Amino acid sequence: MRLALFGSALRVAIGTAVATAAARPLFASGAPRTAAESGAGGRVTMRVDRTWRDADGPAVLIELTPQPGWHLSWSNPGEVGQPPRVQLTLPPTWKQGATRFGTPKVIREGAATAFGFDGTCSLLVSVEPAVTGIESPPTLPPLVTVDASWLVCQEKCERGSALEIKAMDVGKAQPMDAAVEARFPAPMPSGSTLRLMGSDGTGGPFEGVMEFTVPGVDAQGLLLLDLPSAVAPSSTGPFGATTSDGGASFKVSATIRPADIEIDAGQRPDPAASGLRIHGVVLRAGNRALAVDFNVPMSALRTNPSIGVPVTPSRPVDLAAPPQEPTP
Amino acid sequence: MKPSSLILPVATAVFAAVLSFSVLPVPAAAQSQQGGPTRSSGAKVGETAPAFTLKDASGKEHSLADYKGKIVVLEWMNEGCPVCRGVMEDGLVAKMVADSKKVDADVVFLFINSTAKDADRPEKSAKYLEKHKINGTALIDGEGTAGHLFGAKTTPHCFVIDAKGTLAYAGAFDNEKEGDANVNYVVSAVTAIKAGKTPSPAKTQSYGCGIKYKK
Repeated sequence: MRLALFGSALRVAIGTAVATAAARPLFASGAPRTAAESGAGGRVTMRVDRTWRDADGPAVLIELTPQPGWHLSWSNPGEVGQPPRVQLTLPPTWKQGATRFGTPKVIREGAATAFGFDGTCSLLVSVEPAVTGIESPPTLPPLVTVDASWLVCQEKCERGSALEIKAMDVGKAQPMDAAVEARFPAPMPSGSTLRLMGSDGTGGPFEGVMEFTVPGVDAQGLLLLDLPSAVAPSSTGPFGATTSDGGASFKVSATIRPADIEIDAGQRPDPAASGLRIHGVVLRAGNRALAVDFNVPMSALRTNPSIGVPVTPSRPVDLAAPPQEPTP
Repeated sequence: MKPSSLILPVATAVFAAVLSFSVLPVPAAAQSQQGGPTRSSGAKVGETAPAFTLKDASGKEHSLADYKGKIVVLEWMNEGCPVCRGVMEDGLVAKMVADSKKVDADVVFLFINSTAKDADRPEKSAKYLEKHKINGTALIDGEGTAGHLFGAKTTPHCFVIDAKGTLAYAGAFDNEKEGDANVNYVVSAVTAIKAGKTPSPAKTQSYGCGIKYKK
């Protein structure tokens, strides 16, 4: 992760210090920073808020706010851009988990379509108990180092970074405030489904359509996806909706290569991501956005008659979403 | 939580959402997706790569057809883009070229600059490649002709064309999006083509700065 490597050496050096730093002079390798990585820190202001507890446990809220006219990227930047990276250095009993992005916008950048934030980009970085057998010395304050780097764009792009150390007892996080929660997509409503429909050549990749159905969405809904490299959609999106009694339907034609899914799964430390992680957000005019999150197990892909076997037309496979409370 | 405590945040979220939609019209890409999938513009993996002719810094013309029989790698570049500079100045592009040439010594690397403001400075890109010991030819595409033909969106954005002239890979420089920039997709594609296989992945989403085409 090139963007996140900038400050590793410095993080180690200041791991026990109580200070706040605004810039890092070294790469992980100790080599001087090149022109490609210097400067631009002033385009974006970083604010480390506090730890909040959501359904998945404690998470550190970080806000990145670009100057007016500039924008940051979502986890899937769209046709152009690059998402910000955050690396936490935590007390030894904790480890960094997944990053949850705030609700993005569709931003036009020249002729390209970008997904991102022209206002504050809120990031919730989850923290999880680490089985280390090492307890934090009780005499030291529980310090968290937040090391963020980003690409910020308007007519041109600039790279920036920031480092902040803050005393935070991550284990004593408060329940998430409603105003904070509202910056993020609401949980995927129950009844949401993903169907894979298509056929393939013998032993070849899946070629077909991923059909998402999400209740509570009208014809103005837009689906933005953040897909693993094993899934190649026919376009970056956003994908428009067709509506029916069951809600909005989004059809995304894509190629899925099972061999690449194995690679993806092997690179991800999260056991829950051992299958094909389909993640996205549905933007709704006048309403809070909805998360779209499916984890298609590897076993389902292996046994799916529409993958790996030349069946035309194939039987749709219902891959129900994990149970979630409907959006209020 | 009391219902009254939800009013302000919900109202704020609703206002923000309405504002977001009011200032950002639904892009054409979304409109084209209404009712079903469509294909993206630009060159298609598995199809014959579009023909083009561009000049290098010395004014010599280079056509894709000149390299038939060889694997050709196109990488869109812009030394004004920090992402492009990152991979070039950190030696990753030079390594990509070297690793590819270990697989096939005849692989051709063409670095295309479609940035409109660089159209009258063709020597700039060539000197940049030379400075960073990148073994390839810099081509100027100030009109954006080749860039639009291939659907190049970012710098870097890579395309690998096999010896028969078929586009075999299109997308990102590496798997940085997956969390670790430890797989160079161009080298993977060249290796697969040389082995008579289809690159996997054959198509990924590129990342980087948007190309500033001539308006």
